[in-house]
Amino acid sequence: MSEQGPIRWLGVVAFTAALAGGLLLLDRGLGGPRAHGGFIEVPLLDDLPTDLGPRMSPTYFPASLRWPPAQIRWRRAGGRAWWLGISAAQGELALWMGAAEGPRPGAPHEIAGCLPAADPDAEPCPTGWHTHTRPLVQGFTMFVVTRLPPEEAEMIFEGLERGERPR
Amino acid sequence: MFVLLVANVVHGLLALVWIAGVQRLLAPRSAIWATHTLALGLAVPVLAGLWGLLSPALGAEMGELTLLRVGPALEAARVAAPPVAPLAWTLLGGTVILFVAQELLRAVLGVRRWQRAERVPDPALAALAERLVAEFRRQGLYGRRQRAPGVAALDLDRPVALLAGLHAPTVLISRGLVARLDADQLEGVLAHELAHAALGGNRRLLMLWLLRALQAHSPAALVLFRSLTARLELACDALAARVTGKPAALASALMAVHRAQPGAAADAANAARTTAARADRKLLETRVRALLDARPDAATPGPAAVLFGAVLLALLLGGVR
Repeated sequence: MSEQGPIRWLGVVAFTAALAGGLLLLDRGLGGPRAHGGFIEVPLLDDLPTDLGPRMSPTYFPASLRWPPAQIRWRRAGGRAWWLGISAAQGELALWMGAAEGPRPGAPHEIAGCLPAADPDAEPCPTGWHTHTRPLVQGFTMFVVTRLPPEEAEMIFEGLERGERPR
Repeated sequence: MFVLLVANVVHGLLALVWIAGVQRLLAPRSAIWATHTLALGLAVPVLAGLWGLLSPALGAEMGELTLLRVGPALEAARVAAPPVAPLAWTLLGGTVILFVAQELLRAVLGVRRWQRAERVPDPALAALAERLVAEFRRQGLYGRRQRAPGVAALDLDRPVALLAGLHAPTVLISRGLVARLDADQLEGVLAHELAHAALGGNRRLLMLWLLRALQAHSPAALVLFRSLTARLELACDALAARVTGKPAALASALMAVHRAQPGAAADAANAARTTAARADRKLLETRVRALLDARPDAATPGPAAVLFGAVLLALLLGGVR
């Protein structure tokens, strides 16, 4: 490869790996850990790719919740899915809404145990959280997973059904 | 769009750091080596940007393997310090203005200046070029199928020597320059221009310039391209010195050409004040010193080394998106 021998090139490989490690440390140090389960976390709703299945807009949203979503995650590998984590006025997450495809739809690790047909290794559904689901087109399922009172959750869910728009 | 532009700048800066490290680790390396590494620094960020654009559509997210998430980092910076976005736009816009004023206009005006001059066949120059080309071929510096550039004199009093043309390149040397140089110096200058053809000529330079133009907003691309053009001159000097065996004659020719430039005396006076004049003088000093002090090194990297470097840099930059 070179007249100067492979040892120097090993140094180049090590230097490249060190740079990569430095970037990883910088990113995870400043930006926090990446979402689990192959989900990509993005800052804006506009950053969600357009081919992730039906998109819903809430037509009812209680004043106790904050919009825009605090968490926006999506994935393609292992079944397309997108999820929005909505926080309550106090700041903690109170509701996840999204759509996922396939017989074992993927969800953010925090609520993965709340889904029917959840992975056996998934963390259990947090106490007090409940799930609303409805099949959508093209093998997708719509989800609302929340710790809000069931009647309020039902109104959000029905509002979402009315606001459904195919993408 | 904003994230894409900033990601490209980050790619370019990372490429600069990587190149600096690699050059230190593999030192000493010839100027030809440096031009190849710097060319990678210009090309790989463009490929990494394309990969960032296309990979989601291809269903190939890097997931956990992403090293640096530029979008979220930018968004966090925007929230923490709102002036970040306007400042970044100012930096990107300012770099585009620098590109237009210092590179685009300079290139266009520079070509126009000599294009008006008449090209005259010069049998003596042609014979000298033929002998030099044979030596380039003997040393394996021209490919077997590579056509040697033509040679012509320019009916111009100003000292000009350049390789012109993309498909049928021609070395043009002004009569004013021929009159100012002795035989050895002229041989050195002609060999230098023929070396440009050996290193890819204007086609390669145009490709690199297009890569630079695609990244006109990037300060890193500015540094990479200017370093590359400077190193290219050093590389051609090294090849010319190797072919002629007379580095001192080429060094003295460079000094003679510099002294004969219109306004050279004023430039010398202004050199401490004008950035461009200072850079030109610095490059001249470096070239003369490289020719006189050290044995010019014209070693060329093999394709495997270039490919290996490209893969390493692509793996690094592909993780930044």
